[in-house]
Amino acid sequence: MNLSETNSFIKKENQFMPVASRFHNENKLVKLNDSELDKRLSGDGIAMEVGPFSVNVLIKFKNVREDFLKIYRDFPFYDEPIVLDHSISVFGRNLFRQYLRPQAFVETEMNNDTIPLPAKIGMVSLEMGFNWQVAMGCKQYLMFHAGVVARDGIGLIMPAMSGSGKSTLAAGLSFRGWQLHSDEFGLLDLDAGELIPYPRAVSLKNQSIPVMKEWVSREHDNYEDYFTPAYPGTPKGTICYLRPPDQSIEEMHKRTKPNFVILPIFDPNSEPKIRPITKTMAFFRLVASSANYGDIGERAFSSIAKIIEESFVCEIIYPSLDTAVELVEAFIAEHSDPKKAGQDDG
Amino acid sequence: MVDNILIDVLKKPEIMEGLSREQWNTCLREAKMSGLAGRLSYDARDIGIIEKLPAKVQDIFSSYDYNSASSTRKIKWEINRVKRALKGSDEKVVLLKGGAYIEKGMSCTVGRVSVDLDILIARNRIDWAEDIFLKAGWRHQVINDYDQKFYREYSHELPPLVHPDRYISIDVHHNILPTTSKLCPDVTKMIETSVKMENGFYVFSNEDIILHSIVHQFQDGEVRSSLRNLIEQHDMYKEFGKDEGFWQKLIPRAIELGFTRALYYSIHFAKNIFGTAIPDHIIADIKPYGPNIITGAIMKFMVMGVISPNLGAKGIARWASMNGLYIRSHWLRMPPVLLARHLTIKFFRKFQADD
Repeated sequence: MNLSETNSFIKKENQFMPVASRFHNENKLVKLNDSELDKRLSGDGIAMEVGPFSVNVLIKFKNVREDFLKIYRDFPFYDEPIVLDHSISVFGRNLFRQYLRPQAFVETEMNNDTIPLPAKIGMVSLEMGFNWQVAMGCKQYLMFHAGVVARDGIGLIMPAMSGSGKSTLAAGLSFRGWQLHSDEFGLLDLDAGELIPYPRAVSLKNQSIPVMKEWVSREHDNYEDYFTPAYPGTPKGTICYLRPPDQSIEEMHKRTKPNFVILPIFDPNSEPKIRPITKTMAFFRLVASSANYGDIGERAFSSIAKIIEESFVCEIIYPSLDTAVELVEAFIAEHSDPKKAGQDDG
Repeated sequence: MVDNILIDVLKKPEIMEGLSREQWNTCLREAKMSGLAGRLSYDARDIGIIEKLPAKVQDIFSSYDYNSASSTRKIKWEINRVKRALKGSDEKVVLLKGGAYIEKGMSCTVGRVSVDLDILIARNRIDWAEDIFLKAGWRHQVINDYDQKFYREYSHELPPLVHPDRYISIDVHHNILPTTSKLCPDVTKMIETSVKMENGFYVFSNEDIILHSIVHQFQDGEVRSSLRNLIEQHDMYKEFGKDEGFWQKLIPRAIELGFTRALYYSIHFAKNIFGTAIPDHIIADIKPYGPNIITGAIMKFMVMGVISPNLGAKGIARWASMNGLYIRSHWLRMPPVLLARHLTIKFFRKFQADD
């Protein structure tokens, strides 16, 4: 049975199930209901795939498992052992911390030094653990601190600092027909020059939570189902996680070559505007956004040079999510004539 | 002697081809924790089986390849920057550990990751060196007054210096063990016999390089990277041992520097765990320097416990091994009164930090 046959077979069996990546055999994929998953998660843990990474997840707190399943229940889970990139477990370090004053400790097996959080916001520990494993452990793919989305052969990288609204913008686009690669970790396959989707929980902070709820509610009546509870009192204020759109989960192994680089700047008092920048500037911004540029070295340099050479680049300044999405789509529509591809816009 | 998948793979990399997925997970997990994943990757490539391994393993290995290559590149560049800072002086500066292994192109550097650069300089030139590095842009990493004072009074190195552009810390030593340590050697002997490299830096003689690694592991609390240290010693016995002069000098040098017990442990564990080829006369000659039966048994228990989570020791036993060796290393480092004072201050500082 080849991959596409397996895929259609799985689709008949279940409403919706992602395909296996090129790393693992698809016949080991398993579709479990929530209570079966819950049981596995609390026992020895269960192996799952998020984008190109396979990770064994074990969670000792019931409420954290519920939140986890809200986001990840439709991700590919594996019945038999697969080779793992990482293992992660969330647990109380002793009986007191497990039952009496529950505190979620996360073990990433990568010398993490994170502060345990109260178990009721243990989902934040788990997500921070995932971040740590990718940020520290991934050198084989060029990594950008960027929101990345794709649609119809268009691969869009939006590199930005924290607080620029890139998570909200990437998530916003993904609920308007774009495939969500990641709101935070853009990954590039150095050999193929393709962006690798890594669709995890979108991390929304403070004011962006009501903005995204309103945004998703325009498309989905059951929009609350996409969100975890809000977790107040984290080191970054109130955090809430959003599940990627179903289509993005289903297509988590569909890669796209990058051809647009847009630098988003959120400014609540601004007039929405597309500002041209030089390719040189875009090159350096992409370099600065890359967490493992220095580790990968020369291949990282040539890969970024190639991305910039083949991409249209600009900066957008926007006061709201609506205007940001309009600006992005306007810039892309303007440059979608293939003959113009690669021209300098600055 | 041992039943451990990582050690089996390190000894015979060709068995990687036949590992099951469960075995891969155990092996990779332990290799990552011991800092040896890069080495496995190198071995697989070296014997030409990399393409026969599962795609996922190749993918994980390539991450570690980038890691070790970048580490080597960064250390080389840091050596270059230190050279530039010291330009114009003819002071004897000795590269230690990773820096020396890289500069000498030793076989144990394959797949290795060094996080900092260690150098050694005569004690009376230490202030001069610190001044030069601070003027050249390096900054103190430890700014806490107590730690600064502790480093200067009792330790064998300056508080670590780090250059804000490069994030690699340099540890400037004036000895290889704390001056408070029972085993602190007369380091001038080691500096005297060090060898000048092409770039002007010095490295220890081969005997001293391996003795430094040994004393670092068996006396100085390098608990977590025990297996990596041991396999590096295995590599060194193999590499240096081709020269018969090495074996002739090794034990007399250990006697001279006072490292015979540590050398005994290294030879004992390397031979038993990796089957290192050690000449019979060396084994016979080092035997008298071994511990008594009880100490030997406790050491074996603790070393095996930290080398691998799967080697017998689990739970409390593992905790006891980790902490036993940690306490032992501190015991050897400092006289009891000083140790008590140091630990008390460290303990109370925890509460200050919480305020």
